[in-house]
Amino acid sequence: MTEREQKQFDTLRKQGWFDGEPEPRLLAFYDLAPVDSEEGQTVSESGLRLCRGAALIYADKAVLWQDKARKEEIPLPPDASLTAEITEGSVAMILGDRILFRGRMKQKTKYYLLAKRYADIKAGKADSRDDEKAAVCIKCGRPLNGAEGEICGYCKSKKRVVRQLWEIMTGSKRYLFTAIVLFFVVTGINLLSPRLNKLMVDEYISPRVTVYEGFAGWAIPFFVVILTILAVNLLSRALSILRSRILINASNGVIIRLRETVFEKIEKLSVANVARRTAGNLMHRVTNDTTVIQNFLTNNFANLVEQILMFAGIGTVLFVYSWQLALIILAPVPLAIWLNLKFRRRTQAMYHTQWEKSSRVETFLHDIFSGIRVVKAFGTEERERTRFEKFTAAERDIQVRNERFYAIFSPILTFLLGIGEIFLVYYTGVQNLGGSMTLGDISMFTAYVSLIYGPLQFFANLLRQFANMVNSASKVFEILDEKVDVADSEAPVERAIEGTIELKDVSFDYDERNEVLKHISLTVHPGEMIGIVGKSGVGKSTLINLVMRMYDVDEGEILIDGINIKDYSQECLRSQIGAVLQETFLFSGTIYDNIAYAKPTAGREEVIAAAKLAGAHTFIMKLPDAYDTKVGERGYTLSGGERQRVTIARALLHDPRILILDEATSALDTETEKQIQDALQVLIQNRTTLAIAHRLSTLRNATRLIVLSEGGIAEEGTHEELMAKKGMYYDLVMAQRQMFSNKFAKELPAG
Amino acid sequence: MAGSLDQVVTVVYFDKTNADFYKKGDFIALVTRDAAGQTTDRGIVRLRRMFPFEELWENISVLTKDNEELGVIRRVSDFPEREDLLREELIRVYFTPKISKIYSMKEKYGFSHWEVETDVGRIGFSVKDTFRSMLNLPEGRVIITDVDGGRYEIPDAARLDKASRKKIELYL
Repeated sequence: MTEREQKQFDTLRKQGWFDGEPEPRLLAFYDLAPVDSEEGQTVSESGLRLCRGAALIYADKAVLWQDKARKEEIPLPPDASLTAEITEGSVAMILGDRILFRGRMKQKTKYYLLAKRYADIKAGKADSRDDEKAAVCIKCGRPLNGAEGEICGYCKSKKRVVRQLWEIMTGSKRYLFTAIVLFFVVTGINLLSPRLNKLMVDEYISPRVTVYEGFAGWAIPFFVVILTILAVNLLSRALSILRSRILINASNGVIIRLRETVFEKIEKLSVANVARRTAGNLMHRVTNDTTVIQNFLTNNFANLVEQILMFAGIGTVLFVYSWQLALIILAPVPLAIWLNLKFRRRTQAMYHTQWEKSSRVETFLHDIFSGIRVVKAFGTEERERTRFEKFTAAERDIQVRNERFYAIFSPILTFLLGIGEIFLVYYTGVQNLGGSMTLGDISMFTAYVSLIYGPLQFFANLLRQFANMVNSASKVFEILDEKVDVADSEAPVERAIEGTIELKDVSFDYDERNEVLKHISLTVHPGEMIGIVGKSGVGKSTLINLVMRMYDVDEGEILIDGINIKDYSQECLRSQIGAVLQETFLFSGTIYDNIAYAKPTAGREEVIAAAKLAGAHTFIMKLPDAYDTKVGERGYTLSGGERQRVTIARALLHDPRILILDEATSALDTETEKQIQDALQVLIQNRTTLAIAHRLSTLRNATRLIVLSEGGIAEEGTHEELMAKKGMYYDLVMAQRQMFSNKFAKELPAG
Repeated sequence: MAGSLDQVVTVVYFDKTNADFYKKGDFIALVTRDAAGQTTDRGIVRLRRMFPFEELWENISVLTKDNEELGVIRRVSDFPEREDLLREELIRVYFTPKISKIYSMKEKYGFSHWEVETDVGRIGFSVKDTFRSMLNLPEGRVIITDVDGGRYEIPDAARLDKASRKKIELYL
């Protein structure tokens, strides 16, 4: 049982779920999230109702809870097997002929895992599998997707998000400190204004009490007051401008730091980590979400501090002047706070949904734009447009719903907050008539009240801005918190690689269900070229991905020069492996940049030599701008074969100890391939090479061939040995010969 | 020891010890000399820049009429006596008027029409998709490709007069 499960289990025990149970031998604890259908609907013949609950499976007993009150215990017969099956649009956990419970489709991996572990424990195997992939949030049961900690982003405490944000902000300490000092100054100055107003009204506007001597007697103090009011206003504005500039600097600094941190983190994540999300989703987080945070910091954070200070300052002033008045004005505040708290969860959920919908639109666009050729080739523009409309309509609907909610919520809140003003007029009026308050007092109070309503209105609106920001921030921090699947060890090894590769009893799977590679053992010596052959989907590419440590093995180990690859620093390891992969990817930039990418220190002559060796030089020189030709996104489009030659040149320039060729020459014609192969033959001397090819002639130079089948090595030996054996390799070679001779026969004229 | 790139690939670099150029009619021709001092007249050859934007007088590929590479000139200055000839040929092949002043640049329906002063006089040309047809290079160099594939160069956009610069600011 994993630590996380143990915690979930202990929590339940504390809640009294196991009263009277003997110490249970826990196999698994699972949240039963309701299936997407009507709540309470009966499911099939098992009679289980669909509702939130939990299930515990022991080695000898299954216990299902639907809530604390209803509990069902099912004895597990020793010979019965537990299986997970997809039926009726959901995943069912089946015991013998009975459906134990059902879950949503997205939990299927978890269910398969449960069945597997159950079988393992029954068979007496140690329960040692790493359970990270199926980990779920202890609060809501959603998959954790590798996030560190025990709660998912959805349930994550907003306080924690704010704290994390604050940590990032402290990088701009100096700016923030100055800004906060200015906030105090500006608020202090603003508080002076109503006081000056009172002086003005009482001394010069109300029926005069003081008698002045001549024109100079009243005019000089009068103009002094007017000028002071003017100066105070000017100073307040000037300082506000200064403060805004400082804040813009600070928030930009924060955002740039945040973006860099997120980018760095995404780069560190393993291929498996990144593949869990779409490129569109990641882009959304790096660009949109950080912008939302930036806007909040620039606009609302400034306001927030100012309004809080303002509120506290005016509150104090009002209480000092008249506590009764202050109470009248502030009476609706608790109500507003209560309303805000009451709707907090709802607003957060609203913005979360909106985020999901808008991220989905972005993902869709990214998908379609990168696959535009496929869309056009199949003429599915109309269908994609309809899908796009569906996605944008979904986003629009959510937005409309959210705005509609605020269109009602905001005015109600504003009205409630403003209600104090009516009482104020009544109270001050009565006081004035009674003679205990001057006209100046009323003017001052009204000014203070209008000042205090600013913060109150702001707080009423803050909720939505805050919910939106917190939501974006939690999406950003979700990435930052994500546990890196493939991480460097504490003291990673940095050394020059000789090139011996050893696979010892290596097993691997992508999703815990089907093992792609099973107990593979293989030793490759420096200078050997190993050809990997096998049917599609048999795990050839997976094998080389493991050697490059794109993923970590589940069982067994991979050693390079006798050291586990997990102990090497990833940079050191990969900088000594050169790979030409099935996907030929070119960055937007010149052809030269793309080849030199592998070795930025390479000189022009080296790059030209690599291009020549890869058979790329000739076609490059035919382009009008030669090596300066822009390729990629907005540049010249290269053909498949040309791209492949550029990537081969890139790998050759890299001059690696270990060369990996995954269908490296598949897009080339046989003649060009042969030329490159011959050249490679010299280059790969004393280098370790792993090559995958469907066209078996590509591997004719291999020192040894391995044939993969059903996750294991079926045959191993030289071409001659395997041909003599007349096994799988022989069949593959014969099938290809047959194919070529048929093609050849067709091309020849009849007779 | 693993095989290294220069062990496998031989790029022939020309210098005055193994090659010589001469003018043949309107074109340029090559004579090569092998290790034994034997000379061979290769006839008319074509010169192509490997890095036409970044290196004007270095890494020049020497090709036959059928685009077969005979060798590479590292620097035209490696042929002190023939440098002018080589430069002249390259200028002819890569004819690129240098823009010194922009009289007008109007964009309409995705095309832009330019009226400019160049080192070869006042000319007008049209550019399709202005953003994509203007290549910004380091040190303010800008290469413009017109609808016919003709090239124009602004050697340093920052040194254009204010009025000219204002007309193209959006694209820089």
